[in-house]
Amino acid sequence: MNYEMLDRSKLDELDAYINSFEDKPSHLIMILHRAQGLFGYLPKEVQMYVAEKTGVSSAKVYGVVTFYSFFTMKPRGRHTISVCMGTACFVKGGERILDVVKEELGVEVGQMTDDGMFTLEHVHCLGACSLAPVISIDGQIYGHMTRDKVKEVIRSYYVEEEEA
Amino acid sequence: MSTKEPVQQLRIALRNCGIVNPRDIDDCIAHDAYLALGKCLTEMTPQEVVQEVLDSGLRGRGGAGFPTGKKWQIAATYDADVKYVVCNADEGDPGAFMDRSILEGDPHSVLEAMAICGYAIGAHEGRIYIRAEYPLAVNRLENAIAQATEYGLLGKDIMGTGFDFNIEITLGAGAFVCGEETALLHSMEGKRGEPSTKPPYPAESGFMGKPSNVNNVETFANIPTIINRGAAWFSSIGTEKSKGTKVFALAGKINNVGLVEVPMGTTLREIIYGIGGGIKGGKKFKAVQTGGPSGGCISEKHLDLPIDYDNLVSIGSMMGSGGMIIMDEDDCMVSIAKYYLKFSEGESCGRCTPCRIGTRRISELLNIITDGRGKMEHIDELKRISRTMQDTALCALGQSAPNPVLSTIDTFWDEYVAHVVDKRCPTGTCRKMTRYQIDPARCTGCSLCSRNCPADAISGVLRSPFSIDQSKCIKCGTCIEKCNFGAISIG
Amino acid sequence: MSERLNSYDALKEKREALKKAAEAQTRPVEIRVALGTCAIATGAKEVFDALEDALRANNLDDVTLKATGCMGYCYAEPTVEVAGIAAEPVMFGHVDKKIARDIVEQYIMKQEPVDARIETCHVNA
Repeated sequence: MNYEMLDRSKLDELDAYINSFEDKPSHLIMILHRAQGLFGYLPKEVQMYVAEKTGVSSAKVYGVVTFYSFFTMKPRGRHTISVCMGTACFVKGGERILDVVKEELGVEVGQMTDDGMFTLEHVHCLGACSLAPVISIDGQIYGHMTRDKVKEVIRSYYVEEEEA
Repeated sequence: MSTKEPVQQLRIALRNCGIVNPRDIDDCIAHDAYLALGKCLTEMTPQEVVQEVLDSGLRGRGGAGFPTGKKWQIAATYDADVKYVVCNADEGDPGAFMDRSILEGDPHSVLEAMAICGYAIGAHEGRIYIRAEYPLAVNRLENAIAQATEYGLLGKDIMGTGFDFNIEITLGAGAFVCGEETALLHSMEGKRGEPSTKPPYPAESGFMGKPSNVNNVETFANIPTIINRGAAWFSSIGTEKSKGTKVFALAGKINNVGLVEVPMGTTLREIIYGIGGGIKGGKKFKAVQTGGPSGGCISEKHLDLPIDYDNLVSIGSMMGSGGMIIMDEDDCMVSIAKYYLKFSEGESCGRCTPCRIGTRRISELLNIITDGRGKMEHIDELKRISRTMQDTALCALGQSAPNPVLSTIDTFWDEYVAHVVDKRCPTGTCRKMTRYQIDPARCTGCSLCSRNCPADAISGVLRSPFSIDQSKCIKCGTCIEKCNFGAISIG
Repeated sequence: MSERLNSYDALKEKREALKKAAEAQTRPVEIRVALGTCAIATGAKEVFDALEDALRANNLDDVTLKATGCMGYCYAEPTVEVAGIAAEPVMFGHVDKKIARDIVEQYIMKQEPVDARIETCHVNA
């Protein structure tokens, strides 16, 4: 397998992490977390690389990647918006907030905006039920969302990027 | 405030949350951290520790309520070169956040309890399986493990007693089924988190095929206090078969959203109207959902039932991890059932047929009903599939997934009938069955709704009543939110 | 922090010493700021900083300011609890930067009530 398209320095970092485990196969999920942290997502090449280095078959690596919702095989936007679909958010209108975000970004759940700015996701519960409905952007939680507030939050990221 | 005297909370699992600085082990030691571990290691035999936990009557706080002492006793009987103590911190129930709060607020209580468990069952290795969605909790745990190890309260030769105990953290990757203990163990091994049949139980063959004892975060957090204050004290709290306290995460349409810890046997009314301060906006209480996707909806008639494991099961719900979602008159119970089944459908691991296909079929049927295409036969079909799943699914996720459907059919029968027979959603939640209407008598023609309508569905002439074009309306609710005169309603 | 606690007695001694040190403070006042995930999302970090600033501005270096976990009163976040002024700890809710300053300058320094007080209903085991 040819790994030329992958950044060598990131691969080195991944190697060091993989080699820190005596029993590599049992740490596959931790290794994939690190790999996704480094590359942003888990394309086929990264999965093959992890398979080769851990001795787990690539079919099994693929099986694990597709099983867990945290792992993604598609490239991500510079920011990830997660709309909480927990029960508390649901009864307080979380679905409507999701609709607004979809409308505002023009993408469906799991997709990235054309400008590469945002990836939209929904999560089951962020555990911040007192602030329902909530969204999180790159882990930062925004609570008590309304139609207007959520648009405002999204736009603030664009403003920030323009200024930077 | 309610007219009734508020019920007093009793915090055992949360005793140090909000009191200690979780990043400072000295502060935790000043609040009794590791005192119980020292007592166990120097003054008690492993058998005595197991006996103390047995006598306390503590039952697993993660869901089903299996006696913790019994679990430890069984795990202690198996001989092996390596044994594991596993902490289940995969808090996956939507609407539950008690474990996160304990781990963020008092991580040492969980670490100490795991070491006590290790001593009791003869294990020297501990693993915490925690959701990747809880970065702050992971960070505080890592910090706590490092500090405790430096003090010799974890690691080699703890407090000079010769007892070794190491703890490692394993991250989950977003799969609800991993809360089930066999699935959790597979996930910890780096595999797909699919459950397997029991027996063998984890106590015999668990993590890496070694005897393992799995308890949840809140269960562990109770242990140090049980050791310090004694089984007799702990078992004096609660009901006959459910001892101690339970932490509930109150959320939804309630005034005082929060984390509460009350003695077992407290009634729902005391929690909702006493501690919770009643329903938001003075609306009417409709139901409380406990047990997450595995639980059920409890109506007003059971508000005075003392809550314990067995009582909740007897009314078609379950304790679960302790999420308590309060719903008011505006919530459609068929939609709530649909919400949970959609959740279970998405989280079904696909290994066994009853769960994989059953959750899908139930979801489809509920969609038909909420779209206004339902027939009475569909409700019978829902019940039939639900019972089959309860009897035949491989693990607890599949067996309990139909509970939200069965409990809402049972308790809110009229609402199902309204959807199916009258083709009407009484709360106006199910969008395909609703029409937004402007009351011409109340509309002042201010145009605020029409200016805010994202679908351009509202039009009219200023200062005379506006109207909604039903073919364009997307039923988003913006106009109701914006109208200052209460002129728009859902019919 | 480099010492090892090499016996159960060493742990107990350490615990006693820490408790004594806390009691020996000239002003045994402790401010606890809940800093869990939800609290941080509502601005508790800014409140913590404001409290720190107010303590420094008034030279109250004998008051302990502590970052804790969740206090359970999520609806009123950010929450701040002050122990050592009244007989029982007092909890304040919906705290912002201004209330934070009031807690220090009115409640702690002058023992005057601050409006943001919320009722609590728990005892700790």
